[in-house]
Amino acid sequence: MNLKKVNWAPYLLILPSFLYLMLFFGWPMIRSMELAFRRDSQILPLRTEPFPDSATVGKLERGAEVTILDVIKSEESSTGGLLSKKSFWLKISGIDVEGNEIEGWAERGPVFVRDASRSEEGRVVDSSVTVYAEPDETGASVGELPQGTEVTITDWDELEGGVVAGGLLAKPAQWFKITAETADGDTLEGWVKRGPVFVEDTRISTTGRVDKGEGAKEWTLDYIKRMVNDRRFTESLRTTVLLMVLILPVQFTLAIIMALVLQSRLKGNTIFLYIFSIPLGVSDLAAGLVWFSIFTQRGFLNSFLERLGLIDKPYIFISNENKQYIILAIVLAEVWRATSIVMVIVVSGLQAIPGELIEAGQLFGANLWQRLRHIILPLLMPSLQVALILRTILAFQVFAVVVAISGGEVVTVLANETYRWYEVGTYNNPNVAAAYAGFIMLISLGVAVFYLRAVRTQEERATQK
Amino acid sequence: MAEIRIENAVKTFGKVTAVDNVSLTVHDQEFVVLLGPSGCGKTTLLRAVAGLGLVDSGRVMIGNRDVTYLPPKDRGISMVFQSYAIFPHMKVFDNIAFGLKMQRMPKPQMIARVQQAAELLHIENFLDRYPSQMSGGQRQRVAVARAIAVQAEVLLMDEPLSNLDALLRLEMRAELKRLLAELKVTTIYVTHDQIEALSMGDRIAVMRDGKILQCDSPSTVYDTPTDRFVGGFIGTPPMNFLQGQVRRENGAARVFIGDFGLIPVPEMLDTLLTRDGEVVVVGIRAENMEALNQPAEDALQVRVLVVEPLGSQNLLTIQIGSDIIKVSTHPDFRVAPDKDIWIRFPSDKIRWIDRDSGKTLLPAVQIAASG
Repeated sequence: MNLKKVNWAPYLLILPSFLYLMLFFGWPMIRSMELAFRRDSQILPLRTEPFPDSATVGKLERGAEVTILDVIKSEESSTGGLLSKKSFWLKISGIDVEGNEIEGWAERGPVFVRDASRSEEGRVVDSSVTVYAEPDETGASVGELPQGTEVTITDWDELEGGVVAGGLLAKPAQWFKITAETADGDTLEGWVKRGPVFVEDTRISTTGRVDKGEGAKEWTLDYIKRMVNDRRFTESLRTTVLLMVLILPVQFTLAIIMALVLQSRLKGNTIFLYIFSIPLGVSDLAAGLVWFSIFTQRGFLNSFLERLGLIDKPYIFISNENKQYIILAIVLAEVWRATSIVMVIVVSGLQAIPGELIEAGQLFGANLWQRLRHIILPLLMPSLQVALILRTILAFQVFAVVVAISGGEVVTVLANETYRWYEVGTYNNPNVAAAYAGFIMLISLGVAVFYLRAVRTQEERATQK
Repeated sequence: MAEIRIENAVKTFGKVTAVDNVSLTVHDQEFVVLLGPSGCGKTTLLRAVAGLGLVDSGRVMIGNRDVTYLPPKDRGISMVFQSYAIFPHMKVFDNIAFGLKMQRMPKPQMIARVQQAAELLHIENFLDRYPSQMSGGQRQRVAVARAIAVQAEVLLMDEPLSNLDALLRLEMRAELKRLLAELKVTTIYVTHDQIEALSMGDRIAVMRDGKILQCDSPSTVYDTPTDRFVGGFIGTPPMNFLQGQVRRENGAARVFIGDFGLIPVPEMLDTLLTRDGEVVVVGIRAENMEALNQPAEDALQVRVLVVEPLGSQNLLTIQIGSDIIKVSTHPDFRVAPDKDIWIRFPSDKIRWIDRDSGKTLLPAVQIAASG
């Protein structure tokens, strides 16, 4: 190989931008996509029977919200007979890592029962329980309660690092302050460790959360499955596509008409250009809010209709029942906001068409529609293709307008779901959010490739043969 | 029958008058060339006929029909554009068939017409191609084929050969001439190339500053330009112009270049006599002068500045007083720069031009006849 013949200059010039792309685009991109396929948390297996060796029904991820259906006490030794202790098994139901509703048994330890503090009725389920004056096992004991005694829980406390079973398992211990009637008829008040007291109300429908599980670092498709099984997935996808189907044709028709108006060099067409371009400067959130304020109960539309005498009292357009009006408002907002960018692209495309071609069309007898159909549109294809790719990709990302108008609840879109899964207040699951984001990217990519192949001009096809 | 009649056409763009009260009649099946430098209004005039740009005032008649304000498609015309204007997204076939499709011609008939047009232009093998797969010359042929396929009675051509290279232009020129003679259409052809105009047109309308200066057959325009501009614009090299002073000698007019007296043809004597003592411009073409190696009674002694052997002729650059002129000689005529030669001016080849107006002086008889 003759090194002298290689022109290194372009490679050197491109190197900084390549590094830049890798560092600030490629790496975060890879990491965030990794989120969608890699689990780096703990999972809790749910079992068919309340025994450690029984078959697993499914897995719950740490942090999953669960419902506790039943609790039983088990005499089985939990870890291979080394630690023989009584354990509690909870029958719980929840959404598993794949997004399916499952039901099964898990040992109590990892499941933190959130609402237990509110339960007041309890029953001693152990053979007997010692009541202490303070929530401290080394402190003074107040008395003993036999199995089956009804107790009332008045307070509870959680202590850090309570030591259970000879210091082998260090975990927070929960203490209940109880009052109970002893066999003698006296009232006994004091603290017991949570274990022996079975809180009655938790038996039925107490919500809990998976606190810990088995450590798991693995590649997984669970988050993808979770996304697909998400009850809002289909809905959001359908709405996104519906919005696209409604918006794009209107947008392109309008944009082409606007561009033709500008191109026709009518008097004052620069004013048109300015008017058409104003929405370019409005952020999508602001555009959404503008149209929300138009459609809202005391909004412009209602007062307008009232003034015309068409309605007596304000009509509530934006409500759970009026999904179609919300869609309409979103469509209008998006058309209003994003048509001018298409127009700008189309105008530049129109300007690239030689005037003589259109004159030739005119001369050989093509009327306005025929000129548009046979000459202008085919020659505009490359510009339209660019605009179409741009607008379709942006349509898959539609978010702020939807949230501003619908609040993101009644009508939801893919981007909104991404946000919802990521948000701490709701699901707080960046993995599924990453799966959503990846899904949006994938379909955008697919659509772009499809357009590039499908909207190729005949000429291009011929030259590539 | 499609005679084109332009009557008092005026077209202004802002303050610029592109076409200034032009009247022109193109007879049926005639080939008229609009010739002029760029910006002379020739294309504007053509577009007014095509309907692509309407005149401000005046009329355009095609075949006794007033088409001044009709759209192009209703004028019964066809056109070849300067940049070909063939549709890049259509195959050659569809390009040629475009006008026919717009007329909703039945398909079998359309195919026959396209085939016929393509054969006339020798592009019948390229019908399946896209314009981008063709050379400039072939695209030019497509543009012409498209124009003739509609079989309009009037064909307008706007500098159709200006984008071709010199050799191709030469070839297409002859081919277009043959084709148009065959088709018998009325043609207006716009060009700035005077050779094209001379070689192709039945008549040439020379334009400058929005006006037609002269409209006549190529030989007339070449030999007897009515205007100094026409003589200077047409011909390679253009007509030579010399300053000469009119003096009465023995009762007859003589025009003196220095001490050398030119003898006008008898018809011109009266006209020139009225300008006794004035300076007139003497116009003569390079090939009309006779160069001699020896002195002669009726020849002017001049100094040769440059000798350009051009193969078919030798072109000499000569200084006479303050004027530089070109003389073309037979290639065998031996001469070296800075040598003296003698040139003879044949009386019948000299044109006399008014110095101020630039108009060619006419014989008194002719003035009386036209006046």
